[in-house]
Amino acid sequence: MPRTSWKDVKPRHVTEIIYSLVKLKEYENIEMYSDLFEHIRPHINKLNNQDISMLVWSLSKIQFFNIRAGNSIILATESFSVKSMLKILLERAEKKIFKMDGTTASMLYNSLHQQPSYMNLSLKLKSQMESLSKEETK
Amino acid sequence: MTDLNHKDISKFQEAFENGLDSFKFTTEDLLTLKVMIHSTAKVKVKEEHDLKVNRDFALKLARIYIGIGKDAF
Repeated sequence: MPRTSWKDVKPRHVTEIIYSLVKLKEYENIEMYSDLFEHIRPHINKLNNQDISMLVWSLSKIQFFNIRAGNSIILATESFSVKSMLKILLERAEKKIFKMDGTTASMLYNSLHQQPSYMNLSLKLKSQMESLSKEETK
Repeated sequence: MTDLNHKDISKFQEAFENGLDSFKFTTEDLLTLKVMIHSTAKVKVKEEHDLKVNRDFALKLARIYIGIGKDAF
């Protein structure tokens, strides 16, 4: 019997916790992120652009820090992998790119532009940012 | 079970230290914990020591949050 119905806890709330912990430079506790992602995973197709950008930013930071520190082995648990979760989120982002606002596109671009594996997506984000900027100046 | 439903952080800390089973958490408690973790990250950190204190606090709250979440599924 659960202690709480958990009904009012939206994926956004869990996203904010993940984002906050990464803001606090908590890069290494992959088990904890795995537990938190358990609550997000069933709703992944309903995440909005802001949720996606917060999660991509967080996972990119975790990945970047751990690879730089030579800890790439801890980037996955039995049921969760930073790399595969990032891939799923970026596939979602790519589908929504032409409806993306400038802030989200810019946050995603800043998270990705230094990672060669995501060069194609970075270029698309850059193009979206430029086209939004042109529309604003008209 | 003791009904926690309280915004006082000391109650959450007590729950964490005494074992979560003795408390009944509500959805409101979960949302309060979320706000606390988010607020902790927003505090401007001047020194590495302050960052560690903030991080430890946020981690403690996150563990409570996850502990409750696991029970709920």
